[in-house]
Parts: sequence; C-alpha cells; structure tokens
Amino acid sequence: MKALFSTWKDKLVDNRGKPPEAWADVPAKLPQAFDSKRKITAFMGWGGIVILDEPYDVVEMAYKYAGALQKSSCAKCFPCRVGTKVGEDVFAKILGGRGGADDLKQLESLYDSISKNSKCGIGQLGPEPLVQSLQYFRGDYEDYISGKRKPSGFYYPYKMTAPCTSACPTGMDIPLYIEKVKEGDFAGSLKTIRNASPMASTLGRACFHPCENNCRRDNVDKSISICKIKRFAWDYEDQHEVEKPSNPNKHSRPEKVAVIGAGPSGLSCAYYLALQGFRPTVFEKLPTVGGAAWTGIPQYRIPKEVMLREVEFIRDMGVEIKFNVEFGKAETFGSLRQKGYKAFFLATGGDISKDMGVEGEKDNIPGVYGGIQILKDITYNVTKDFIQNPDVRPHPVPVPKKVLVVGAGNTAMDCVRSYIRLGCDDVNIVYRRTKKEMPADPHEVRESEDEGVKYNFLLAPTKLVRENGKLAGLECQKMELGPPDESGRRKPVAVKGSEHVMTADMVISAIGQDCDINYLKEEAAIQTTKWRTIVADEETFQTAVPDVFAGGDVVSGPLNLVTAVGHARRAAQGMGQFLRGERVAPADAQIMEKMIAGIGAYDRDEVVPQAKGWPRKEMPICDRKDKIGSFKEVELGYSLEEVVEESSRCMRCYIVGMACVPADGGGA
Amino acid sequence: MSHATAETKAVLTVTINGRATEVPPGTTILQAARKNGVNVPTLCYLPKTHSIGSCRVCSVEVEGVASPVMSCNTPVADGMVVYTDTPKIVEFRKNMVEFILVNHPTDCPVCERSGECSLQNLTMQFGIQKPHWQTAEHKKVPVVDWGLIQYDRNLCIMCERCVYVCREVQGCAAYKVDGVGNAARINTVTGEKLDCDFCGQCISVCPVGALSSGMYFSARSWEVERTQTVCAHCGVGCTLYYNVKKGAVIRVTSRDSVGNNKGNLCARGRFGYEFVQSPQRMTSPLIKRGSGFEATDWDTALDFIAHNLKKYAGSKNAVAGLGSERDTNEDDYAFQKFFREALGSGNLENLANLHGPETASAVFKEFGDFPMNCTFGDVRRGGAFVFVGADGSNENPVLSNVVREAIFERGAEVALLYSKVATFLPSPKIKIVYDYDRLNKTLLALLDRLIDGVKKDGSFAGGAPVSDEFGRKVRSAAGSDLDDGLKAEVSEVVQLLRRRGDPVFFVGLEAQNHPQSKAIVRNVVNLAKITGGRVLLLREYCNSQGANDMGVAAGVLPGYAADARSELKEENELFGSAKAVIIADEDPLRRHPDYFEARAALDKAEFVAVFDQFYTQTAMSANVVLPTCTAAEMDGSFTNMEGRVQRVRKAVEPVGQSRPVWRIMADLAKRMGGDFGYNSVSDVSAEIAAKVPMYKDVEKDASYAGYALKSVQTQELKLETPAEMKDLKGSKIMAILPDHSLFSLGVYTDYCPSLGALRGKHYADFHVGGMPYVDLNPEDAARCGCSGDSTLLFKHPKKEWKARVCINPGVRVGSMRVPEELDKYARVRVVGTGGEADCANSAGMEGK
Repeated sequence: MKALFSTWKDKLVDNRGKPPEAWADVPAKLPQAFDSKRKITAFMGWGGIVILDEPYDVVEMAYKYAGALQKSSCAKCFPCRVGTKVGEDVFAKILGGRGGADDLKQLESLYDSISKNSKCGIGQLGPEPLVQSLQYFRGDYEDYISGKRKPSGFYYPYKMTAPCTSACPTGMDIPLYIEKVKEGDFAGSLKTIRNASPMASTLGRACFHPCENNCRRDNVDKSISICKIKRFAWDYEDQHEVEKPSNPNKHSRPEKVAVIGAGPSGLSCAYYLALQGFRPTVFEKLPTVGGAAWTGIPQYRIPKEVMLREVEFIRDMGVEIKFNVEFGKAETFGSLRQKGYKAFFLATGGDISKDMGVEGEKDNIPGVYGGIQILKDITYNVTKDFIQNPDVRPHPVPVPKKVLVVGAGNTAMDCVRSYIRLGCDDVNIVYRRTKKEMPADPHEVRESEDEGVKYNFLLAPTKLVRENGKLAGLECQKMELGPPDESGRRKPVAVKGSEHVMTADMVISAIGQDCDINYLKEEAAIQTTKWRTIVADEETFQTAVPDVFAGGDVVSGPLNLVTAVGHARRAAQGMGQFLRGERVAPADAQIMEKMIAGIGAYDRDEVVPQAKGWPRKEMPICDRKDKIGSFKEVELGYSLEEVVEESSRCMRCYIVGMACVPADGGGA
Repeated sequence: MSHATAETKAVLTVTINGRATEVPPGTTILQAARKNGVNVPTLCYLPKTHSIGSCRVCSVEVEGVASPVMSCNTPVADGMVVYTDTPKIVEFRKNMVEFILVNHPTDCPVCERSGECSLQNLTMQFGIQKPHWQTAEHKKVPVVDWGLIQYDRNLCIMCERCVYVCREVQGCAAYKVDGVGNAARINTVTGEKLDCDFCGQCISVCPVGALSSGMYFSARSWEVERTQTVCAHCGVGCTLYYNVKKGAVIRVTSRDSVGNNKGNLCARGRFGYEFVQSPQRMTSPLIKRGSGFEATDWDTALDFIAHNLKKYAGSKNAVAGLGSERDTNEDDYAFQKFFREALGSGNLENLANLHGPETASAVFKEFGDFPMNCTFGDVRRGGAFVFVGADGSNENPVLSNVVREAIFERGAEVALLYSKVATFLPSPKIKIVYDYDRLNKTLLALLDRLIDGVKKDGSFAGGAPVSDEFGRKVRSAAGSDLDDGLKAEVSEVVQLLRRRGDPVFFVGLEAQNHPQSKAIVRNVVNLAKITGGRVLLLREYCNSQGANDMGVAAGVLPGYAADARSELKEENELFGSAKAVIIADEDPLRRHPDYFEARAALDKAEFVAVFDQFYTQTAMSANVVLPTCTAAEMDGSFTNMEGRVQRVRKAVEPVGQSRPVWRIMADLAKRMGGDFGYNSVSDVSAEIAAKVPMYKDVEKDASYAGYALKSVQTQELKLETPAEMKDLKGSKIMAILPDHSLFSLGVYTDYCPSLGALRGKHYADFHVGGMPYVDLNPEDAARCGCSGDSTLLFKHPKKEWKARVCINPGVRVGSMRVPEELDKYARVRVVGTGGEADCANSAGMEGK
C-alpha cells in the first residue's frame, strides 16, 4: 500500500515532500474510507503511525491517543494508570500552546518508563507511536509550542482490542475473561464471555479457537489455552451455587421476532434480541436444540445434558423455542408476518451431506450414509436413555465390521471417533490428499490415531461395490499431489489404472455439507450464491429484504461454530436498529475492529520482551478405556488451581488502534 | 501460592546475581531470590494470595529479556539468569514509587499508618525527595464511611491487596476496582455501603493508610506494645496481638507468619476487644446484704465464702461447681482441684456438656482417649468438607478460612447440612436444609446412600469395610420417609465424597447440642470411617476443649480418667443434689438450655458464689461475687478445638481488683485448710504437665504445643439408638431454634459496642433492650397470619414474651429462629395475629 508516512512494523517509510507517484510501499493494509462518506487520513496504534494523506495533525492525534490509553487503562498497575494520565496532561499542555521543550523531553522518559514496566499491552505497546511522533514530527510539536499551530479538531475514533480478540469472529474480550478467571471472579468472566456469545460451554468445548493461533504468548513459549479456560468459567457456574444473571429488559418491547433454526447462530441471535427487550421465538425443524452442535458434534465432545443447561439459560433470558416446525412448510414468511413477527433471522445451517459423486451413490444401497445423518442418529441413540424427549425416535445405528469414512474434516473425525466408541474394530479414513492437507483440527487427528483409526491417504473413491444387493466395498483410485489449487493446497491428480476395491460393510460420506434454502422461494428478492448460501451484509447481516437477516452456516457455507455465533451478535444489533426504526449500520467501534483486523493485530515475528519457559497447562483427558468403550466426555476440564495457573500466563496484550477522520459527519 | 509446574524437570537451575541455585518447578523468581537471602523490594505482593502484580516494584533483570521482569509473578525457567540490583532496575523501581507519589499526598504526620507504612519505607529506601511527575489537577475527595471500615481514596495507591485478600482469603469479594485510568478507585462490588462480615483483613493488608478502622487508632505505631496471645472468643484459637498504649488495648493485629490462623482473624477477633476494659467490668468483690450488694475487700469476701463452704465440706457432692469454657486451663485445673481435693466433691460440669448429652463421651470412646483426630493441617489437606449441624461462618469464622485454603489452592468442595440455609463463602452448591428433628435421619440416609455406593464402586481409600449386616441395619434405621428432594441432595454429598476424597466432617454446635447428639456424632464417625475421613468437633468457646481436658466435667478427672466420686446425675440436671454452688465465669441463666431449670437450680441452692468479669443475671442471684480477669490480663493457656494448647499472655494490668480464677481457688484452698502451693501461674502449668498425661509436653514449647492426636482406633461401625424425639412433621408444632450471629455469638460480644454496631437491625434493636425478633419462613408466617410487621406472643407457663416477626425464606418450614438467648424459654405456645402454633425448643423438642 502507498502512504505518505509510515513507521509500521518498525519500517520507516517517509514520503513527505515526494510526489505521490514516487511514494514507496508501506507494510500496512488500511482502507481509504471510514465509511461511505468519510475518509481516513491516518492510523495510530501499537505498531506505529501510518499517514495516508493530508490533512492530518500528528500532535492532536498523539494527544487523543494518549487520552485513549488513559481511558483504556484498567488501573491495575501503577505506571499505566498514573503514567498515561501524566502523559495526557502534558500533551494537553502542548496542544493548548503552554508547552515547552522540557515537556517533550519529559514525555520521552515518561513513556519509556511506562512501556518497560507496565503489566499489559496498553502500557507496554501503547507508548510506541507517541514516542515515534516525538521523533519524526518534532517540527509539528515545535509549531504548537511556538503558537504557530492550533488544534485541527479532527475526529479520532479508536478501539481497544487484542490479537486474540481481533482473531475471534465474535470479537470476545478474551484477555478480560482470562484475567477474571485468574482473579477468581468466575461469574465476571462468564459475563464477559456472554457479552460476545451466550454459548460459553459449546464454544469452550468445541471451538476451533483461531484466538490460540493469534496468541502473543506463542511468541514467548506457547499460546494460552484460551478455549478451555472459557469452558471452566461456564462449568464453574454450572457446578456451583452462583446467582445467574437475569435480563432486566426481558420482553420490555412489543416486537416479536422469528429466528429460524435453533443452532448456535439462531440461539445466540435470539439471546441478544431478548437482551434488547424484543420477543424472539426460535422455530426449529428438529425436536432438539443446538442444531449442528447437537446433531453433528458427538456426545464425547459436547455432552448433550450439558448443552441443555446452557440453552436453559438462553431461554430464561426471554427466548421461546418451538420444535418440529419446518420453515417453508409449517410456517412461512407470510404466515409469521401475519402472526405479527416484525423481523426474521435465518440461521438454518447446512445439514445435507454432500454426495461423493461416485457410481452407485443414487441407488440407496444399505450401508451407505451421509456423515451428518449418521452422527445425528448416533447422538439420538446415545442420549435417549437419559434425555427424555418423546419426539426423538432415532433410527437404529448399525455397527459394521469395517467402516470407511470418506473425507478428512472435523465431521469425518467425529464419524470415525464415534465408530471407535460404538465398538467397531476396523475404522478407516479415506482421503484423496495427505495428512498435511487435512482440514480437521490437528488435535482431533492425534486423538483419533491414538484411539486406533486407520488412515488411507491419496485415495479417491470412484464406485460403490455391491454383492448380492448388499454393500461389499468401495472402489478407489490412487492419487498424486499436483500443483496447488485455488485453496492453496496441492491438487490431487488421479493415477491412471490404479483402481482397486477396499472391502467394507459401511461407507460414510463426510466431504462437506450443503444448505437447504428451498424456503427462499417465497422471497425471491433475497439473493443467493452459486454455493446455495444467502447473501447478507457483512456487518449487519441484513438481506435485500429489509426485515430479513441471515447468519451462520447458511451465509458462510458450512464452516464452524464460532463464525456462526459471531454473525449472530452483529445481526442482532442490526435487527435491533431495524426494529427500533434506526438506520441499520455498524457502530464506529465495529468499523475500527474490522480495520484493526485488516492491518493485523498479531505479528508472528514480533519479539516479545517476556521471560520464557512457563509451560502451558494442558487439559486432562479421560482414561483410554473410557475413550474406546463409551461416549463419556474426553476432556475432563481444568481444576481450579490448574485454570488459575494457566490464566496467569496471559499477558493481556491489549492494543489501541485509532484512525484520523478529518471530516466528522457523525456517521455517513 | 505456586505457579506452573514444568512437566519434565524436577529441579530447575537459576542464577541470581551470579550465584547458581536450584529450585523446584513453579517457584517464582521472587521466591527463589528470597530463599537465597536476596532481598527484592515488594509493595503489592501478598504471599497468601495469587500475585497481584500492580506495583511493579519487584522488577528484576532477566538475561535475554529486553524489559524488566516482575519477579513476583514470573516462574523460574531452567537456566534463567537473573540480576536483582542493576542500576537500570533500581532506577525503574524508583520510577514506580514516583508514579505512586504523583497521587499520594505526603501527609505522613497526620496519617495513622505512619511508621508502619510500606510506601513511606520505600520512599525513604529509594531516597525520593519529591515527585518527579505530576498530573494537571489534584482534588481531595472525602473519606468514605463504610461503618467499621473507612476508605480514604486520597491515600489509596490502588495496589489491590484488599480486593485480593477479600476474594481469595475470605471468599467474600466485597471489593472491586471501579473505573478506569487515574480516576479508578476501590469500591464495594455493589457500590453501596460495605456489607460483609467485617473481618478487617482489608485493613490489615493495606500497605498505606487508605483503609482504616472507624475505631480511630489514636497512637503512633512506635508507641504501642504488642503482646502475642490467643483470641478469647471461639474455639478456633487464633493467635493475635493486643496493641497496648498507656495500659489500654487500642487495637488488635495479627501476623501471617504466626499462629495456626496464618494471620486471619474474624470481626470478633479483630474488633471484639472492647470487653477487656469495658466500663461494665466489675472492679471489686461484692457481698449480698439484704436485697443489694455491697463492695468489700478480697479477704472479707474469701473468708465469707470459706466460712459458708465449710458447712458442707463433710457431705459428698454437697457443693457443685460450674466451670468455664472461657477460663484458662490453669483456672479450670485449679477449679476442679479445689472441688476434688478441698471439698471432696465430684459435682462438676461445664455448660457445653449440658447442651448435648454424651456428645463428648461418644467421641471419646470412639477415638480412644482423645476427642478428635483432625488438625487444621488435615483440614488444609482436605478435599471434601461436610459441615454437620454447623453454621461455620458465623460460629467459627476462621475455620472457614482454613477450609478456603483447600478450596482455592486445590479445588476442594463443601457441603453444608444445617437446619436453615447456612452461610459459607464462596457459596457451595450442596446445601442441605433439614428439619431439626430429622438431623439424625438425614445422616442415616446419607450413610445408606454411601454404603450403596461402596457396594457399587468399591471401598474408599483407607475406609473401613462395611458388612452386609451393618448395611441392613442402616437401611432399616434410615427408613423410607425422607422426601425425594432430600434423597437427591444426600446423593450429591455421596458423589462429592467420591469425587474429591480426603473428607473432613465438622460437627457443629447444633449437632453437639441436639437431643440426639450421641447418635448424630456416632453416625458422623461412621461416615468418616467408611470414607477414611476425619472428624472435628467445632468448639464454641476459646477453651471449651480445655475445660473438658482439665476435668471440669462430670465423671472425668483431668485427662479423662474416670472419676468415681462423681454422683450419677439425671441428664442435663444442673448442680445435682448440691446445697452450695460455685460458678466461675459462666452465666447459666443466659446459656443453660432451659432458663427455668437453671433458675430453679439456683433458687434451690442455699449458697451461691459467682466469679465473673461482668455483673451477669447469674451474678445478681449470688450471695457473693468476685471479679475475675479476662484472658488479656493474665498468663495461662487455652486448648483449641484441634487439641492445640496455646500460650495466653498478659497484655494489660487487671481491671480494678480482678484476679484470675486459679488464684482465687488457691486462696480459698488455704482458707479451707489446704495449700496448693501455687505462687504463680507457672506452678499450675507445671502441675498440669506433671499430672495430665496428654499435657506432658506442653511446657517444652512455650508458644505452641498440641497434644499428640491419635488416629481412629477401630474400624468397627456401630449404630446408636437415638433418644426419642417427637416427629414434628405434619404437626402444628414448630421448633424454636437459636440464631448464631457472627457479631453476637458468645458472652463477650455483649460488651463490645463496635460489634454491636455491626449487628443486623433486628439483632441491634434486641441488644439495646428492644423487642426480640423471630425469623419465620414466609409459608409459616402466612399460616400463622403474620406479616413482616406483626408481633408474635410467646406464652410460657411462667413467662410471656413478644417478638417481632421477620420474614426469612432461609428458615426451614416448621421452625423459627430466635436470638440465641431466647430459645431457653422453652415449651411455649405461640399466638400469632391470626392463629396459633405450638412450639418446641431445641433442647426439649417435646412440644406443648
């Protein structure tokens, strides 16, 4: 990207005085506009200063930034709490034309002391651009001191976030919830988590935790066990007598809202709608809550009795759930609008297993299953003894002598690990690439190997083989890795003449899912993609039909829990604006969050000045006999001492990013 | 507390200032430095909480790390090279203190913390003349009044010690950091006035003068003399220091490193010292003349007593003695010796034993000679804690601190069994609220479930084997009439015992004082044996244990040898057939389970001598009253609930002419023709060590000595047939039960106005002569036609009293709670505004 000036990532690019065509590139990625009406001219943050263009006022921005640091200071260490106030006051003096050369010198020593001694990122990383401004914009400061320059009065929206938070699709305040666990304030921790997602247990058990791949502690020794700390906070509430939060706004507004689908996205959206006082009703096709988290994630990863308690909390906040209602059939846009529903959130997910595209697949051969369908029946069977639900009538789940699971994503992992637990001795993965390209969580892969799953790489299915009308096996073809495809992974290429039959009495297709959006026929204005997903605004999740919003897998395509939950909270905001008759648009803070994610809150190459060698506390898991023989939960949860210890490793890498918006239109 | 444990290496090497040393994994740099005699300054660091890390004063340099490293919260990594005193580090530390001084006024001359202030010391140590930096404006804000605790934000340095100690040591979490940046302050979690147990831990850890007691500390730290002694309130036996200026106790402090309480105190311990020099103390001996008392001198009073006692000296057990659970072992020993040697009487008792028949004996027999097998060390190692009939946080608050150590450090769990919703912080999930008359039934149900579990999942580690026959007996005794809710709750306790292991069972006051106490204690012992657990009898007074050890009890000599002289008494009968009575530091008219029985027993006696510190109801009924010392005025020893014998030391001169009981007994013995040969208290201590086997080693260690505790002697399980009790279920009869309030439990609290100010409104009213209260469950209140404002009339054949109704959902349906002093007026009919109910008291339970 071209910019007038940049110190981003310690690389000085100074194009001042040069014609724009001669400008050198800067290692930062920023949008040119804040929103449709306002432009951005500068950015100040933990990684330095970037000035895109005139007009800008570095001294004014530094003052505002110093103030933002003071306002972001949690007050829990001396240098940041007091020092950033001292600094802000000095900047104010300079901006008011009362400064002197001594003040500039004092600022340098002050911010040096703050950055070296502070507890967390606000104090450690915040001073960097301020010190750089003193270094590279000395003239601007001197102009203020001599009275030549007066404040410009620009608008400086800012946002405090952290690398982990920025990587989290829900924007969860991770350092805060970890700190609260460290402090033993488990209720406070859970409250923080619930500001971003009401599904602390589900996420704490089954999230793929992009936060942990963006954890600065990984630059020191090993990332924090962020995901599982969240689980502890929820488990603590579940296991102790804790006063659960209530919803003071419960049903304080008359508007009824229809949420379609009781999966993580639908439930989360309904939760945030209820918190705003609306009356959400969730319409669910199945007789159970949880959507894909119930049917697709096996009992040993998320015990369903636990999920019921988690959902009970969401209901208590003012959410009604109606089961066995298929949208598009039993209820439609029209019927619900007629019943007074003022808005819709479509969160119908993607629960149709993709076809393998092999010969014989359309022939309904007994023994051939879709991954999602078989997982659903396994869950229903496993839980039927202790979760009474008269509407659940599961199909019997046969246990074959040998099962082949085609695919290598998390659904495939769930299938193979479930069959290990059902007592099948010969459980196989068939995958057309190699272990390196497997999309499944590496932890899941390791666990499955440990449990005895066999892997067959570079093998693609071509034909289902029958004998006497029964399934006898799967004909496969050997593959080789060719050049990378559009996903960046090397594309498998078939080896001619390598077809051979793998015997099996069960074949499960787990190569992905499609969404069922046939109900959209009624609302032709809603746009869809060629992958049969719904088109919605990236920030507000509004579709082309104003009272219809959509989120989760049905928008992103079958992806993951946390993305679906992240959509939900933002969609609930947009829906709230719509229902209150406000303009449907993201808040400035949300725009800043996105801007920071774009510039990259986490730098894998950063050298973090922290003592190494504090090992990560891994979560204890159950005995091997419980893994093979039963659907008992594998991960046992941290003990209190373990979780406090692990939380203490967190460095609270808070950062502040600020933009300069010269013309404050007060929103576009 | 320790930090992470490395998985691989058992020992880590760290080089501090050039010297290599080895430490176990999980050791912080600070701990490693201190262990090696290297001093690193700290300010916010508190060893008993997780590291706070707010002050940044403990920074050190670690090779390879560009910024200073906080030694308090950074664990040692293998091969780490640390420097603690480089010029750069010293400068950074100085900067940190300078940051504090930006806001902190140097008003040291008018600050009560001056001289014991950490900030003052660091400022001096770093040679800071004036603050390096300053903020634009600086406004003074008013001091916040939170009752006994006051917060001066101007002095607060936001170190968060109070927040941490309240949360991690008290489990209370009353405080939080409120606001952001430089404007942040410490506030209560609710933002309202502080509403807590007022343990005062926050004051004790405040490094500056920001938190202080409303009882204004009118001395400079260097003016006070600190005497280490033992708290005179409950049976936990906390070590504390009376701070004395010019002969007056002006404050109580504690030290984390001294005593089994590890520096923790409760409101009674920290603020309840005013009784020592209360204006209500008696100052001279009194002899009854006509209807009033006349002050007299000691010789006249002692002669008068001796003269009267001589009339009964010949006949067996004609003189009865009621000893004290508040007196020292030396007092109690001399007291019983006087009866047994000078009077030939074995008619001795202390009141604890009159509440619960045979509690002590049931346990003694079970555990051999000694009443318990659990020390606080065992509690700290415990995994599951079951409070049986104990409102622990009110009755023995610092024991809860010990339990919390196990909770916070090792994830131990608690189950509360009580006749109302008991308090414990942090609040446990398992709280079984039983009908008072069904406590034993509840335990049997628990035992039954437990035995079922043992059959299914196998024995507990170290647990006694359970025979099928015993299982059948328990099943038949447990019966099947418990409701389903209670059965489910009992199963949760069984799961807890399985989940955590190392169980400890606490037997509280309600269980000890229960009419079925013998069966109850037996069943707790059965539970402990099956689970391989331990039992601790919670003691109400500072020397409840010692009074029994010293033989101030019917039928036992010091050290629990049988006393053949003792007459067989009817259960609970006060004074037996005695004609004369000596009562030392006890008020049976307040504390005996049945006021009217105590009244009758006193009226029956021909001669009554009372020794006490205060002019109690009982003292008013005496022929002669002698003023005695409190524990703050004398040397001696107390034995706490774990059997730990602790030195009591004289902190102030005796008030008025008061004397210790041991000396009164020795003086009386001389007048009766004997001589105990006691010239000082150490003569008594020496005799105890010589004569009482379990105390033989006490003298060897002057500060702390516990007698050797024996483990469970036998693995045999037994069932006791419980005393008959009327089943109240479904009847109109309600149980009248005492309320044990933290701020009013025990006799001394009556004479501590600061504690009085902390009592809830209904306690406070009552204690200044207002109408007593009665706590009723909303359901019962509705049944009796009562509301929160109505009055209930209690009709006893001999007395009527009215009480104000307070609606309290924590009270069990079918019971009512009254102030501790009032449940003695038993067997009454309660007339509500709209109906009536028969009542039974906790001692009798017969109903009307």
